[in-house]
Amino acid sequence: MSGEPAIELHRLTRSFADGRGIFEIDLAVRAGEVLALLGDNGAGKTTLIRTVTGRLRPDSGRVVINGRDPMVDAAARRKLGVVPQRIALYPDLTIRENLEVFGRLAGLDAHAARGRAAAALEWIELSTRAGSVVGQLSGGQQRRVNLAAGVLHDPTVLLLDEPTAGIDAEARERLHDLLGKLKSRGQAVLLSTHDFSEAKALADRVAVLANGRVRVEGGPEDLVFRFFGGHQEVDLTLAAPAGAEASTRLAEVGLWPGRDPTRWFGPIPGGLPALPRFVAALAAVGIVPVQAGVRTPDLGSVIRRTSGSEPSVS
Amino acid sequence: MTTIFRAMALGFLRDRGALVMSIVLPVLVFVVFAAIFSGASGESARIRVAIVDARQSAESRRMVDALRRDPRLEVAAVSAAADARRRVVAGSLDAALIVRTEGRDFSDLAGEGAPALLIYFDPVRRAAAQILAGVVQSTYFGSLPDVALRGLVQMLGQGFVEFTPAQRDTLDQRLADLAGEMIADQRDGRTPDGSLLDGLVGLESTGQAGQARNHVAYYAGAIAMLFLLFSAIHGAVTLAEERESGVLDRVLAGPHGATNLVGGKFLFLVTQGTLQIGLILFVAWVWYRVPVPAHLAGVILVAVAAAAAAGGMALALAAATRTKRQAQTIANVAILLMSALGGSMVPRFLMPPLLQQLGWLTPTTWAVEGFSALLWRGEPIGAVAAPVALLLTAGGAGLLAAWSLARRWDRR
Repeated sequence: MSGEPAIELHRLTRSFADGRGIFEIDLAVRAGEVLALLGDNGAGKTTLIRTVTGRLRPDSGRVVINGRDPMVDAAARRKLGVVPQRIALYPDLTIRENLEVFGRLAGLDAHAARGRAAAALEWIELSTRAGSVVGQLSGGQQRRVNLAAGVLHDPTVLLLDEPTAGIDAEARERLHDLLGKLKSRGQAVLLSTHDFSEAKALADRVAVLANGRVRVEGGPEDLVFRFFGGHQEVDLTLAAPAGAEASTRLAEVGLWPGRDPTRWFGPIPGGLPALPRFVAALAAVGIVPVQAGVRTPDLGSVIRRTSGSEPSVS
Repeated sequence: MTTIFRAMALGFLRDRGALVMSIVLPVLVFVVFAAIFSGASGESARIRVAIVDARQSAESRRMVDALRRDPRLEVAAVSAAADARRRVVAGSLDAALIVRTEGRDFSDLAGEGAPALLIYFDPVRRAAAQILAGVVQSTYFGSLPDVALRGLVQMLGQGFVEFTPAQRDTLDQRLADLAGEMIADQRDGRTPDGSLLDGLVGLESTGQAGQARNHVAYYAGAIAMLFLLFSAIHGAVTLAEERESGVLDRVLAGPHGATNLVGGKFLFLVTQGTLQIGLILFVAWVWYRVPVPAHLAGVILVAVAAAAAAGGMALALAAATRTKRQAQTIANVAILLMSALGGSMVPRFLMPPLLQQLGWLTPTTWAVEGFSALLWRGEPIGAVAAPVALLLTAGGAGLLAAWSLARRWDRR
């Protein structure tokens, strides 16, 4: 990782009429670094990505790409690679034709676009299907082409919006391999995902978004440690939502509620062996869980803690 | 722009639906329309009629015999007036001609009572009835000149001159001789020397093309414009598809803006539209001898201008709407209205005056007028200046509107 940030977001705000949006986002991503934006649907991840690409004009704040403003500077946009959430390809064109078209649109000349398309076909392991029409490929193959079309012009900054959405585990693994290779090329990658296992596998740092704001930011392991201090996570299910007094008691023992008001989570010193004593202590103050479990905390646990919601993918 | 042009072209060539709609269907529909109008309006067009002679006089029999031999009529075998009326109502006949039992004599043109002949018709086939009336009148003067002259003599005697007995005898004798000659001619299958009307009206056609070919020339432009509009919107809604799929995000995140995207699509739509019109006109020339090569420069000018108008307007609509479905729905209604008013379905000259005037507001009318001026009326290239100017203005305005609307995608 080099010292200078490739992506800088300064108090970036963009809101919509329904009150949603992103608010006062401060983030930076260095060359060779992957920053994962984690959060539920509607948390503001796609809005953030689209504001960085220049597709949405910020209400206030600034986006700086390699020291330049992509809003006004076409040269800055030339260094941007975008992989949209949907399959942003021409379905009636072959893989090779798609790659050449998007290479040209990214500013490559015809010769370079052909060369890069051939290299990209090798990279995504679809050379033998170069002449296949994209609309006839499997979802995983389309995702690979979608990724290749975004990196064909060798951008220094790559913006990935849920690049593995809607594909099976095997296809996701292949894509993770490709994304890992991108990281090793020294590109600054801003990755939007709601898959915390993907974030853990790929990201150097994670920013958890909720309601358009960055709730917490740091390395995946650091974040888990910050909230659980090396302890296991307890998961309690109550028979009914906790009342005011019970909620106070649960908070006093370091638990926090999930989106489902009958679920409570938190660190449990001593782990599984300590669970009976933990449950007994709660029963003593009138809180009797109908179910209790212990697990190793992960980024999903961090999301639960910071946004009060269940991550949609575990 | 060339990259977008190429992507559009490749997508178009692989999209079988688009190919059929843009290339095969227009030619097919044109051929069907051309076949209909070349057959219905040509010299071989015949009116299907029933002729019922309820009077059975010598004159009525001569009249009916002459009508049965008239090549303009296809006479059905019907013996009763009621049956003839029923078949007209049912639509199996264009009209019925009934020689009444009562009523005036054939030679009594100005007397009291009902005329000797009655044409019964359905209002939707008024034109057929009028043609039949014309055929009857010409047959009356051509095949029964003695009867017609007798009627005229009666009218003269009643209102203008008083004939002496000698003069009346001479007239009666001459008319009887003429009747004998006509009866002999009919019996021997000879054609009468000519109608009395031949001395009154001569016929001269417009020359190089018959009525049928004129209709084909008209419909070549009309059908081309109808499908040009459909193809243009089919191509333009890819803007909406690209917005929905994220291709637009990817394109606009790069160094090229929406202006290039729209410009590339416009170039493709103009090229596609020009080729589409060219194909239809090629078929019209090869199959129906519409004189396209004689007006090639003018035809190309109108075709390019029409394609530009369709492309520009379609892109403006696609850029203004939020989704593909919205664009398609609005376009379908607009195209049907423009095509109906502009004469793609029914020639404008057959429309009521108000609709004809409204038609001038549509690019379909401008294009059809341009093609008709060259291919139908055989006018020089200068005659298409106004239609071409209007089409190019519409296309330019549409393109500017599409550019302006697309710029909002650049940085929203």
